[in-house]
Amino acid sequence: MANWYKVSHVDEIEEDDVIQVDVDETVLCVYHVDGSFFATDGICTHEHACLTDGFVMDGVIECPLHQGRFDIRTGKALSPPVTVDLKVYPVKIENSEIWVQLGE
Amino acid sequence: MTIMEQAPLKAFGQEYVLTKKDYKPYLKRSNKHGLIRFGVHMGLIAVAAGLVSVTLGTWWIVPVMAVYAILLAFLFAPVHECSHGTTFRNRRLNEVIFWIVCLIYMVPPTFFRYAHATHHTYTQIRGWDPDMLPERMTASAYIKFVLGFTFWQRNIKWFLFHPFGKIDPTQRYFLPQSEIPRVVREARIIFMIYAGIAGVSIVFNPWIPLIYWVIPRLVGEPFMRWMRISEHGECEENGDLRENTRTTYTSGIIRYLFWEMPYHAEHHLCPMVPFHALGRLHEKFGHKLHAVGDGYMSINKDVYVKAKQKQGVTWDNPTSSVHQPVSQEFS
Ligand code: FES
Repeated sequence: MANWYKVSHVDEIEEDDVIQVDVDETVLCVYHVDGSFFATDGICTHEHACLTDGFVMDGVIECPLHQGRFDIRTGKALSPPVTVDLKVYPVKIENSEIWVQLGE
Repeated sequence: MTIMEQAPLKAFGQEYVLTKKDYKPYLKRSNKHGLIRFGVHMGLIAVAAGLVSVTLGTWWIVPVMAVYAILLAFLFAPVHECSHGTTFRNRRLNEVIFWIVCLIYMVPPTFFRYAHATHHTYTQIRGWDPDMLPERMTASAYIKFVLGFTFWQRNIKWFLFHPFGKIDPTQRYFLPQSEIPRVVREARIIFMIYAGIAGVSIVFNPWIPLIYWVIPRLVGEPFMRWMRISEHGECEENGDLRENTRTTYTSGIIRYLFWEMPYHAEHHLCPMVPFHALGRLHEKFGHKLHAVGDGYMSINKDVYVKAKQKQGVTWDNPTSSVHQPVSQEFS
């Protein structure tokens, strides 16, 4: 069942930055890009690096370990060595709080 | 469990030298820095090629060819930088230049990228790092390396076998299954380009590619091997990047031509940082590095003497208990 989880506050993530949030067993990255917020899985699909240590630029997260790149909005793997897309999660803002939906 | 998850250890150390907040200002990408460095580098190569053409048939060709060959060998630097995707802000430009320099330098782009990524993950972890010096390195193994035998032996194998889908089983572990068709496709394209160059030159003038490309690549590669041995040679065989990777003090000219790669420990600790910011990174945490070398000559002397005496780190750490998925080669 899908549930919404409060993960952060809009003031807690700078523009072009990312934070890591753990919800139960799931490691998430929550991003602030062009005034909007997005959420993806927090672990790189190549060799399990923590994407929260990566670099956000032009709506793309670059993995800290081998510079593989993912589109933050769609999770699409953009360049080697990443080949498997990241899972993305619905995000909503209520009263300046960031909520992420997890589950089927 | 995948084969990569069986590794005993991964390289680490960034957390000891920099916080994430400190790291951010160094990450900025720019097209300008990449274009200037690449333009100057290719400009110097063009000038040297011109000098080769006017000194052909005289004794001057010897020093001129040496300089030209060394400038071509330094193209390893943009190969390496582009494999990280950090040369330019514009990723497409990065990939185009990556292809061009890989073709000249004679390495296959995607395969190199995966091998190099694995070198970063498992730096100096024997059995997992595909770029390590051989175990129990002897003086003759050192000489073989520096002369480029190992480099050419391996690269020729790549170029001859990858187009037929034959990838060395000991190197498959770092290549995702889904990327094998891409590696094979690239190898076929490169094979056809090289065959085309060979065909055209046989018809018109076989000396041109030999004089301006093949011979200088053979002559220049030992210089690059000699420099690159300093990056990890006689550094600790453990995962700590402050100890297992060396920054080498050298002249500003060498740093410029090598695209700041003498700051090698800084690069391994912060691989997302583009080449032009590595000097600033050195100012920030250079004092925290354990492996810093004073010039390529003295490092090579140390590596060679230890190899000759059958001593040093490659002799100290018998690793028979470690899983050995890779042939120990130096890229
Ligand atoms: S771990 Fe992310 S690109 Fe390799």
